[in-house]
This record gives sequence, C-alpha cells and structure tokens, in this order.
Amino acid sequence: MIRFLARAAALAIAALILFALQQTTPGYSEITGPITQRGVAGTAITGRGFTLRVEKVVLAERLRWQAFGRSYDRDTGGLWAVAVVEAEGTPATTALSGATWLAASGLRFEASQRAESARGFLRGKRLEPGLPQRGLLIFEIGRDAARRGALLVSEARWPRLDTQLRIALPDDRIEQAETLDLDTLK
Amino acid sequence: MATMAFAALRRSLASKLTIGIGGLLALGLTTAQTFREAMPPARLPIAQAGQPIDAGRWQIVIREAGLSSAPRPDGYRGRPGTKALSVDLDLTNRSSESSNAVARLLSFDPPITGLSPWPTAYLLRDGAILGSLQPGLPERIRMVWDLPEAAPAPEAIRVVITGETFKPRDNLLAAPGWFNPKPVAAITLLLRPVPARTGS
Repeated sequence: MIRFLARAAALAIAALILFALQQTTPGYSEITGPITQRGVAGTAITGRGFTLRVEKVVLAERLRWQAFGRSYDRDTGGLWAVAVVEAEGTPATTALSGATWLAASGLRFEASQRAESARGFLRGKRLEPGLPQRGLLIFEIGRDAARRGALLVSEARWPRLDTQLRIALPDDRIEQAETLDLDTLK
Repeated sequence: MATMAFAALRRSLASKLTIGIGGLLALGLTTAQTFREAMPPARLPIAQAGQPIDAGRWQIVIREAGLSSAPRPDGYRGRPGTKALSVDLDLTNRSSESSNAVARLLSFDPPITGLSPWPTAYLLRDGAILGSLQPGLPERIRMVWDLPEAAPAPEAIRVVITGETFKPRDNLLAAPGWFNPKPVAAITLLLRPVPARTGS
C-alpha cells in the first residue's frame, strides 16, 4: 500500500515538474528577442551600437512646428510626450529606428508618424560617432500612460538579439506644457 | 499449441481493429472540425451605422459612405479618370501596441467591379495619410478606394468587416499576434456625395 502511494506521489510530482517546465519554457521569439539594458533618464547609457541620454520629457496637449514653409498644429485624443534626447553612434554611424513608450500598464506606443516632419525628429536620423546630436522622440500616448512609463530605444524597429535600452522616466524629469512649440524647445 | 496461436492472432486482430477504428474516428472528427471552422458563418450579424463592432484588434464604428470626385482629405484629387469611394469610420486599437494593419479590415460583398484592391486610409484629424493608430486612442478615419469614372455607381454598398483573433503564442515563432481573419459583421450603407474637406 505504502509502495503504491509512494509511486502515485512520485508520478504526480513528476507531472507537476513537467507542467512547470512546459509553462516556463521561453518561446523562440523570447530567446531571440531584444537584450534589455536598463537605465534611467538623465544619465548616458551605452548600448551595442549607440549611446543615448534622455534629458527630459515634456507632456503637451498640442504640438506646433514649422516645416516645408508652413506651420503645423497637431492636437491629439490623448497626450503628446516629447522626449529630448542626446544620441551618438558608437563605434560606427547608425540610426535609431525603434522608439517606443512603454506604459506602466504594458501598452506600447510607437513613436508617432504624425510629427515626422518636425525638424528635431530623431527616429531614423543618421547618428555619427563622436558627434552627439540632440533630437526629439515624439510619442502620442494615452492620458493614463504618462506616469511611471519607460522608453524603449533600439537600432532596429524590432530588435532581435540586439540591445534595447529601457530608460525609466522619474517624475522630476517630466515637464508639462499646454501647447509645445518644437522649434523653441530647449 | 494451435489454440494458443489462434488466441494470440485474435487478440492482435482485435487490438489492430480498435486502433484502426479509433484512428479513423479521430481523423474524421478533426477533419469535420477543420471544415466547420473554415466555413464562413451562415449569417453574418447585421450592424447599423454608428454601432460599435468588435473585430478583434479593432473596434469599429462605421459612420457613412460616399462617392465623389472632390479632393481627398490631404488635397489629392486622385488619378485622372477615377472617383473616390469612401467609408468614414471610427477606429480604436484594442491591442497593446501601435498598429497600422487596417487595409484588409473592410471588403465589399457583392464586389464592386473596377474598384482598387486596397484602400488608402486618411486620418481626418490631420487631413493626412494614416500612420499607426495608438492603443486605446480612437480616431476618425476615412478609407478611400479608387473607382473608374465610367464605372456604374452603386446606390448602396454592403461592407463586410473582417476580424482577427489573438494568439498569445503562434505556431511558428511562439510570438503573440493576430491571426485567422474572418468576417464578423456586415453593414449596408447608402452612398452619398461627400463634401470636400481640407486638412490643417
């Protein structure tokens, strides 16, 4: 009887262990996914191909800028979040194609294409080594995504086995504005 | 000796028969299930203009449809010899990330002859071509198809909305994604002339 019980218990434990292993096995896309490097706004973080420092983030209701000889004025159903960053390619010329605002709830807001014509728009712009460039990463986010968010920045839009910076944004680096003029942003 | 061999033969025959019948049954069941899932639903739910429709990744509210040769929201007049068939709708991205997968959302049943295969989507807020829609932020969109000027204009169109289902792990890369597009609702709209609207 005891031997039978012991066998049954061993079987149950083996099944449990196998189930746990099956549930926790990372998928192919996770194994070959981005390699996260954590940092915080205000300090320069060096990834595999670039260095980036987030100076501040400005939250605004409206954006305004000049381009192609006319002025653009863009409102939003949520909030504009403009990150002022300084970036350079290390050790070679590169460009940042992946910029995402990760909300505390897990929502991912990719850099908005609506503000692509703004002069400082950094995504996709050439970054040379030794010539740090100031630029803007512009996001259109939900109102409840503004606090306790993080920036995900990478060279590729969907990085595979490559650095992805995950930059936490403390509240003292976040500013508010009603209408933000991107051309005068300092 | 002979009886034992006979019994063994009978046993093996019985087990083989069981396995065979069971296998066939399983095969039949899965085949039937595959067929059933691949079939379009017999009757699509009929939606009304202004009613929210849940299409997986998107929540859609169809507003109105129109046919006109007025400039599009960005000022483009379309290729010469074409007019624009447009559908106005409110779109909300229900997924967790930005997306611009809206081209296959609407189709016409019965099909309209001469229509361009894919629409161009415009964000009416900007009067510009639509980029990505951010999660949870609804926007008014105008989808525009090219129709030759000479093509007969239908009085009403029947629009079929295609929805997708979310898979947390797909079969190829074990990555989350939206799959298995299927019609989820249909709506009949009258075509009305669209007033011109220019962007800011």
